Formats: sequence, structure tokens, C-alpha cells
Amino acid sequence: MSIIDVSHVSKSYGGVKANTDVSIKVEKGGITGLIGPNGSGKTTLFNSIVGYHPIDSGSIKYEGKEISKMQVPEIARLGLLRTFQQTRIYGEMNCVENMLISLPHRKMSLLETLKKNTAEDRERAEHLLEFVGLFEKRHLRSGSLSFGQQKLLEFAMALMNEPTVLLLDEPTAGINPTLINGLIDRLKRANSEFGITLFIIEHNMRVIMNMADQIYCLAHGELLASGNAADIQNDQRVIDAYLGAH
Amino acid sequence: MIAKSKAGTAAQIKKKIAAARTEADRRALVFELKKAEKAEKSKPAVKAKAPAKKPVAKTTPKTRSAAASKIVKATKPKAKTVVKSTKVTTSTKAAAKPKPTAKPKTSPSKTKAAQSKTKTTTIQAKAAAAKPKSKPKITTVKTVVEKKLEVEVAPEAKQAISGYGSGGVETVISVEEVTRQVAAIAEGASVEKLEKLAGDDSFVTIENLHAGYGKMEILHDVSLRVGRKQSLCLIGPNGAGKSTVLHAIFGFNNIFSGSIKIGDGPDKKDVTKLSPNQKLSDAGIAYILQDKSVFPGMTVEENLWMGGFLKDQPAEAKRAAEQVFDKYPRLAARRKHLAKVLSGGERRLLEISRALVMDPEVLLVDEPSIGLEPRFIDMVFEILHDLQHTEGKTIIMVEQNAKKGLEFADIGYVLVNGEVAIADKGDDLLANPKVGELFLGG
Repeated sequence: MSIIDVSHVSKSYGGVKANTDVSIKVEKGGITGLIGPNGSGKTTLFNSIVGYHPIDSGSIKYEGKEISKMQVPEIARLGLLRTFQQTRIYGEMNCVENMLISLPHRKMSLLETLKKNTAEDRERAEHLLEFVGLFEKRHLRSGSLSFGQQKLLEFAMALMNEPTVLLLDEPTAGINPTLINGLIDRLKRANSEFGITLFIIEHNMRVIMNMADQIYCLAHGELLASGNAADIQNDQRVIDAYLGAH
Repeated sequence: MIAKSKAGTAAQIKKKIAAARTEADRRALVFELKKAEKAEKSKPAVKAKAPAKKPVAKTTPKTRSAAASKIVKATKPKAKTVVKSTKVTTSTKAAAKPKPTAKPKTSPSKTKAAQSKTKTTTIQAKAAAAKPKSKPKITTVKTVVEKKLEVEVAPEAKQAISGYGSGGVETVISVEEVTRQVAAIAEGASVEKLEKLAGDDSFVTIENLHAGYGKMEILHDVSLRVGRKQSLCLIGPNGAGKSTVLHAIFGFNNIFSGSIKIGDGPDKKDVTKLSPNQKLSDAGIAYILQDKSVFPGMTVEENLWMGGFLKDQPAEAKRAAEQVFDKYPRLAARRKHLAKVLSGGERRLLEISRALVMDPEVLLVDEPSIGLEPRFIDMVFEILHDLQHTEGKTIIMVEQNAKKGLEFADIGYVLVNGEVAIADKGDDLLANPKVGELFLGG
């Protein structure tokens, strides 16, 4: 069952055809990968899905419902969340506050959202911060963290929000390779234990090939190939356009 | 999201709570208890069905990840014990109760509390404090079997990590554990060793640098030596201070004490107090940022001219830019295009070329290959290779793609918590299995 159904989507920006007739199905409860050369339209597709901009043609369905004309907050409240390549954390707040802001208020009653954050919320926040190695820095202004640490904070905030589907845009760029292993492990557990569907853009093949059930490859704004990890690695078109001889 | 508890069953955790020595330990265990109780109520998590002996390279991603998660489950008890002791720092009760001592043999809570009072400690003391006094005894049959699996599966499951992103993801180590293990292998970096690595004739010399942002000190007593036409790669965990070293050299942050000198032989110029503009125009140091730093609304040509903004005449900048275009025909082909339509690799090429307009001697490159597709990673390192060996530039870089970075660079420094933990030749660091496990992903 596909939870996100992208059907014949096209999008242009001032003369540049960012996406042309792209169709992708993201399987519910699975991990789907999106790869392709720089400038092939991957982030544009993510932006279209979460409602950053309208699409020129085609349809995007989430849980069977058409979302291509909805606003970003409406789509987010349906449980469809995304992270960014260049992080979007709240720089003036400290890490714990960033985490608490990320609580899924859409899942609470009005009264609960008006109350103060519980001790359990704080512990959950601190637990996730500890996992990404930010526990000791949790009271520091998050704008003072390094780029990699901000990425990790954004990652923790995304998990804190208990999404139904999480779109991750290059989550491991700039992250230390050993910590990447820990993040992958965490994501896989989020997927297997809590059924969070993952849709990941990545250039790091180690991440994608070790995680994704289904991979789509874009090139020049169009869908080039799709399949599982083995199919994609051996697909000559993908090798020519993107993977090279590695 | 409440994940399953790693500290054992609910009954086991209850026993540990009773035996807890400090309030903070008790709180952490209570949290674990809630998780364990919740997990025991609900369905158990999907366990891997794949047989342990299957070679991972031939399996589908599902069984591979299942095998990987098996290893992770088995290694969890080790990781968790260190994580607990770190929590102790926050509890004021823990700080007040025990006598502050820094002896490694005392319990983790005591030494950690002492540490929270001192601002800077060496990596050794930190690791000694973080060492758990004893592993929690988990003697259920299940765990014994899991541990056995770990031993059987691990060698087969491990795949070599390459600089292009292939390889396995089985080596899962918590951030605290990495810090602890680093101290165990840290040889320290004596000035003699650094001098030797720089061929005993250092061109860029950093001595006893304490630097940071605002009032926060990030780098503690960092020294660095790199010889003319050499390349040095800084690797290490996120937040270790790698970019901070580059920022300090260029003058982007506060230097509390220490010095930075440029020049070989006895006549070294002290450039510590120069402004970034002066660093570029007088000292011949250029910085290539980690973030996207092209001017998106300007053309490629205009971006290059901007690289020469410190020149006396715009005409000089244009002449210098033409030389750069001659060198990189790929860029010249796009000279009239707006920088925002460049793909990632071309953008990085533009960022590097723009730094070359002022003809610097020293290039500070912050994560050259970040966000680039595999083919462009090659291209960027080829460009840097050419700049070092043909043009004779001295290159200091930060790279999280440590495989590529260390393959490229002559010297490597491992930075952890604002200090140089290990310094060695690039190839030797790559060959060091501990370095591989802690920083390279396996």
C-alpha cells in the first residue's frame, strides 16, 4: 500500500525544468530512497510533496487524499514531516527547547497543549539528545552548535515529533561516519518498531544501500530507474549517470 | 517515542534501581524501567529471521539490516553503561555528595562530579571518569546467545567502507563511547611529532592555541604544523572543533591565547591578530567555506571577479579571473550563467576557483566534498591534488569523508573535544583499525 503516491508530477522554475513527469510510490511502513546527481530535482520533489510550492501538473496523494493543493502546516499536521539539507533549527533557543517545541501537539488535546511540558517529555527530549551526543550541550543556544551538530539536533527533533512519514533530505551530509551508523540504526528502529515510513534523499550510498527497500533514481528532472538496492547498483543507466565506476 | 529498554527486563531494572548509588543513576534507571514495562506489555519488536551465518554481501538489504540490527542489539549493553555515567554530571546532588577527586579508580559519579567543576580537563581524565565501574550483569540465556551471534556474524557482516559510500553500517558506537575509546588510543601529539610530520620545516605553525566563539573556548591548547606544499586533513567527531581551527587561522573567531605564524625557515610572520581581509590580501591565506557560498544572483564570471575584491583595481581582478578561467574550461563554459543554476559539483568548483583569484599560498578548505555526488567527489579531490602538487599550494582541510580526506592528505590530525588526540601520516591513520572504527565508520 503506498502512503505517498506521486503521479506524473512536473515542476519548473523560471525556465528550468526541475521535475518532468515524475511518478513515485512510497510504500507504507517501508524505507524508500531517492538518489541522483546534484541538480536532478530531488529536493524539488520533496518540496512539492510537503507543499512548499504548487506543482505545474500531476497529483500527489497522501494516504489516498490529494495534498497537492494543501498548505504546508496542513500537510505537516497529517504527520508528513521533512528535514532540510541546510538545517532549520531555532537558533536562539537552546537544544532542549528546540526538542520540546517539536512535541507532536497535533496528537494532544487542546488542554494538554496548553499545559507545561511534563517531566516525561523532558526526559524523552534529553534521551534523544543524548543519543545524538548533544546531551552535554543541551542548554546551549542551538545557533552556536557546529553544522554537523545542528543536523543532529534537527534529526532528533524530527524523531521527537513522532511523524507518520519522515522525508529526510541528505540527513548524513557532514556527519561523522561512525555516528552515521548510529543514526541509521536509530532510523531503522524507528521504522521497524514504530512503523515510521522513511523517504530519504542521500548521496552516501552506504546509507541508502544499507537501508532502503526501494530506490528511485532521478536524473535531469526525470525518473531514470527504480528497484531494490541490487537492481539499482547494477543498472547501467544509473552507473553512467550517477554512480560511476565505484 | 519510547524505544525498548536496553538495560534488561523490568525485573532486572528494578533490582538495579534498588542498588543505585546516586539519585541520577536512579532516575535514569526509572526511565529505563518505564520503557521496559511498556515494551513488555506490547508486542515484541520484529526480530531478524535470517540465519546468522549467511554472508552479508550476498543478502538482500532486508536480511542485511536484520543481521546488522542483531549485532547492534548484542553490543547495546556495552554502550549503555557509558551513557549512564554521563548523565551524572547534571545532578547537583551527585556533585554535592561525593568528595571531588580525579582518581581513575573511583566511581564514575564522583569523578564526573569533580569534572563538572573544572572547565578544561585532558581527554585522559575525562575517559577515566567515564569508565563504568562494572558492567551490569545480564546473564539471561537470550543475551548470551546474542553475544555469541555478535562474534559469529561480525567478521562476515563487516564490509570495507570506501570513500564513495559503499560498505556496511554495523559498527554502532555511542558518542560517549567514542570519546572514551579515543582517550585509550590517544598518543597525544607532542610538538616533536608534529614538527617531524611537517618535514621539520613548518610553513603554517600554530602554537598552543586557545580559541572559540564569544566567551566559549572550543580549542584547548591546539598545536599544528604543516610544511609548505603539504596537505593536512582534520578529522574527528561532530563538534570537535575542526572548523574552529580553520576559523581561528583565518580570523573568524576569538583567539584567547596562542599564536599562528606563516612562513618557513626562521623568518615566520605572526599573523594571529590580522583581520580576515588582511589574511587574504597580505598573508596569502584563502578560506573555502563549508556552506554554499556562491552569490546566487550573480553570474559565474561576476562571482570570480568578487574573489578579487581586495585588489586595488577591478581590472586586476578581471585579469586574475581570466587566468582562473584558462585553468578550468568547465567553468569558463558556464561563465555567463547565474551561479544558482550550477549543480553541486560546479558550484564547489566555482567556490574553489574564486579563492584562487587572490593567488593564495595557503588554502583552508572546509569539507570540500560535502553534499556532492560520488563523481564530483573525485573531481574536487583531483582539483585539490593539482593545486597542491602542480601549483604548490599548502592545504589544510576538514573532511567528514575521512577515507577520501586521509587518502588525499599527507598528514592527518584527529581532533576530539577541542584537542589533537592523534597525529600521523594520512596513510597510517587510515591503516589504524581503531581510527577506522571510531571515526571512519568501520
